[in-house]
Amino acid sequence: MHNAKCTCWNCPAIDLAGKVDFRACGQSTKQFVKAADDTEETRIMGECKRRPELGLFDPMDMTFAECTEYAPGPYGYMLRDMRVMILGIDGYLGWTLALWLGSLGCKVSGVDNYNRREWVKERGAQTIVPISRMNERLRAAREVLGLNIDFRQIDIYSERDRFKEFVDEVKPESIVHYAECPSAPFSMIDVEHAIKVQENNVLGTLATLFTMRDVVPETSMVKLGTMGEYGTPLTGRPIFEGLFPADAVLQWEGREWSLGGEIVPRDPASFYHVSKVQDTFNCYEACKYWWLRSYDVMQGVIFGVDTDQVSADPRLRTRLDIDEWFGTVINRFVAQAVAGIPLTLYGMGRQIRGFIALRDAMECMTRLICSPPEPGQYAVVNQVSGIYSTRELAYIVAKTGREHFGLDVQIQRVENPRVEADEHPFEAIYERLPKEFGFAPQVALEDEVRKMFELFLTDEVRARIEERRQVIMPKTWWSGVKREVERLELLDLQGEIEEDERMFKINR
Amino acid sequence: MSACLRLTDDNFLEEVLDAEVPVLVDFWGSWCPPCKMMEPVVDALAETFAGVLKVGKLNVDRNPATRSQFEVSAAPTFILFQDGEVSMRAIGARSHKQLVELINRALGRREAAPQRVVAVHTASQASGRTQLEVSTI
Repeated sequence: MHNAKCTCWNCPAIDLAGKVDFRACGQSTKQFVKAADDTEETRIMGECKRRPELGLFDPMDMTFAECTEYAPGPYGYMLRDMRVMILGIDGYLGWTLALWLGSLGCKVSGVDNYNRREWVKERGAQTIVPISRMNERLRAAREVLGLNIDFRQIDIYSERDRFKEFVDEVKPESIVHYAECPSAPFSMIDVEHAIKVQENNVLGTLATLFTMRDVVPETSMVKLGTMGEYGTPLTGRPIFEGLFPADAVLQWEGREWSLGGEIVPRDPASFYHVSKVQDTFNCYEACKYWWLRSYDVMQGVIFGVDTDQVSADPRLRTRLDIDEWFGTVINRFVAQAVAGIPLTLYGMGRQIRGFIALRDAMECMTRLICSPPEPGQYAVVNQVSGIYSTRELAYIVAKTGREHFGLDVQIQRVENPRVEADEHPFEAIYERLPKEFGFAPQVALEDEVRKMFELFLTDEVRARIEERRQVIMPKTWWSGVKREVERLELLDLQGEIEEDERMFKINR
Repeated sequence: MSACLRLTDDNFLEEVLDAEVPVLVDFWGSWCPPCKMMEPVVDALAETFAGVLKVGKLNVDRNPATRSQFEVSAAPTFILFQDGEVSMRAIGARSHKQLVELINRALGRREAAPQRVVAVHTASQASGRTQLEVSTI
């Protein structure tokens, strides 16, 4: 099992406070000379918060596999009844993860300020998969899955005192930070929206980091970043996992330096993406200053509707947005296909991105939660299971809609309202989750797309898509212009699909 | 599995200072991103120089006496010990090639840097899909 040899050094149940001279290295000479005078006492020692009877011990001496507080599970050794707090628990990912982790035996708590509901409502949009109020959702989780989720309505930034009290009360052993506005177009509407997004994301993250420092410094933070932070470098250089490997070198004027461990360049593509980059730096600094530990998850574009838990009962479904602001591309394509709107490729439609299905994302997150970083470690994973161009995705959705559901699906190229390269090289590295955390993607894109069609074609969901047709076509331009994009071309689908399949065969 | 020695304040004298072969020591910390990124390079060095020198890793937080003795105040710091003496010292991340050159120079070795197999990523132009190839540098 991937984390069998992790030790108490990695475990959030270890209490290192006041027992470890973390400041000794990389600080002043005076401090480390002082440490040398008193060698035994400055050794790393800890106490287990779950097993106080162990007293003071060397945290490297016991592995997860040896500890009675850990049990083997499908995603690695996991702390029994692990306390996990999800920030943004009412969202698409947050709710799904809450049910997923609860079903694995975690004690799940969560906060939400309902901003996502407000923002979607404000745009005149709605989740096409109906979701009820939080009280109803919690009751359904209890009735159907037997889960007791400890929920509070809190804004982690503006109500940070209340948030701190809640964290202190729960003492989470992992904090999953999903409490961010995930929309690029929403941040580009106007100054008010740009401020709203940056305030929510940047200040919420900052408040969380300070809270963790003060209350739960050994807890790991699994924070959701985005592959969009990196941009799409036109040089075609690899998009590494957050930090450069040691063999990446900079050559200049005949000299050479290793870039190992330096943060890789970011090239955000909206004010939302800028906020995510700022979060990355805030997390990186907090780990450096305060010995917090964090996985920064650079997630590819998410899609899908299915996990065992959210599909178990209509009342447990997670939200799904298909509007121009909060809908992600595959989810939108399927909704467009159902609504009879030709799938919208922006510009050339040759933007290449990393993608991951909802179920696979939950598995990755669980593996990260099970295997926390070491104290002070800021680590990054690129959470991606496949790479596609938007054009390829449109063909897959169109083909599925036509062949399996008898829909007359068209594809159109429209003006690109964004400022981005719509044809570019892309080489993302996504090796850490498979190699270090044992992740293997379980979801085939075509299968998930079929499940989405099945759900979207139910009477209720289809009606909800129809009700909000007007928010599907993009009207938010990065330039500030507000008008619906115009069609550039309707694609000859049959010819294109044949060409595409030919290319697939060449590439695979 | 790493071919590196796990060094501590307790075994440093025996494994490093009294060693009969040169020893490269990686002074590292868990909080140090460059140290983490150096792990595969340091593991590869142990294989590259198998039979020539030993490679060991010492956690600077866990071993304050050794850290202080050699005045290590930055991580990663690489120190090559020969006959109990410091013969090379480098601070900060280095590529495999750079470390091989530094070590060879310190050891007075003239041969070319040993070859090392690395994974190189290439993307097919049409789809950008990543493929793994193996090549040698």
